[in-house]
Amino acid sequence: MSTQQSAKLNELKELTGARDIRELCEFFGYQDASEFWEPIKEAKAAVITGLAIPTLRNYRHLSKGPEYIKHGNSVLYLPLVLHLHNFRNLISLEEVA
Amino acid sequence: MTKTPPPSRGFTYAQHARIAIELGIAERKIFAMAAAIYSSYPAAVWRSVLNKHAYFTKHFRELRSLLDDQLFLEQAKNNLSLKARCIYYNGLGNQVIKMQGIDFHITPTVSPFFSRKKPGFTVEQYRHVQQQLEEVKDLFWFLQVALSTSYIHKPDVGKLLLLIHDSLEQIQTTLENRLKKKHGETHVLFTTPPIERTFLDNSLTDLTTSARHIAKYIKALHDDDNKAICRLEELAAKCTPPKYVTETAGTSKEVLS
Repeated sequence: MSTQQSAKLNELKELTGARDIRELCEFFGYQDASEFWEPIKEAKAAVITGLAIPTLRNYRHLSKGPEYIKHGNSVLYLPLVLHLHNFRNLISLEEVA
Repeated sequence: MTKTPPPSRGFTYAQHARIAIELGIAERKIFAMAAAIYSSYPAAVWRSVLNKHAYFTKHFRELRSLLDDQLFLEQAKNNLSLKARCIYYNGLGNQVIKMQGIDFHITPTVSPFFSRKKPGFTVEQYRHVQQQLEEVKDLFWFLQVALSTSYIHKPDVGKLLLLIHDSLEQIQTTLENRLKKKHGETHVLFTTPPIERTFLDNSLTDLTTSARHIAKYIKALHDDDNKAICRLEELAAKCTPPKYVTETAGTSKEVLS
């Protein structure tokens, strides 16, 4: 696992309140940590983020939203990146107040 | 005879350890709840709950580090081996949490994130989550009373506890609204088991009941004005007054206020 990958996992651990990787997998219902790195298609990414597929497409066009991988015409997302995007975009109650 | 606040003796090492364990369990319960909501609900709901969860986690960590600092401070005062104590303290916490065997996942599914239709909780699951939340809230009320009777008042700790309690209340309200919307008003009522926490010394045990009464008292304030007055009178009649200790000429004796 690269430094960048482990940094992302650590950030997600912090954001969810998990103490280790096992707890992090437990939180997301994954069997093991490798599932965070299995690329998924747009439709599944839309379910994870709660965004519509056209919104994800629009985000890619505008170069914003979660990072993605492009292989020819197919677009793939990494579950870790999507979960991280979800948790990073939570609005703190203190900010609202 | 004048009422004086109880002496600030602080927690013993065993009490610190026990509180650490209880806090660890509470953290796990809230963590499990967040995981269950994240996997069982669509984005609109989990975003709302996890916002409050993030707020809870932040203040919870601050509170825990404050308590840890206090423990280290006391150990230093007593010239105890810090390292040995620290290992025991953390080890004990983890061991007991492991032994408790709390059921973390309320909706165990193989890949909950890949299903478009997230069903949300059943009524039973709602009750389970609400009960867990009530228990955690009770723990914080108890901790507030225990801290205020054992230590000199620290505004930071009091503020943190209030913020934690507030975030838990908000999570509970969100879930209650969701339950009402989905299953109707009739299912909202649920019962909580009586509190059984005797992890501090015996003189503090009866404060558990008082903590529960305070919680009800505060809740009553949020109801209608007319109802609140009646309920407050009822609660005041039931409430067990806490014991205070007065010190006279070097000897201490217990006085019921």
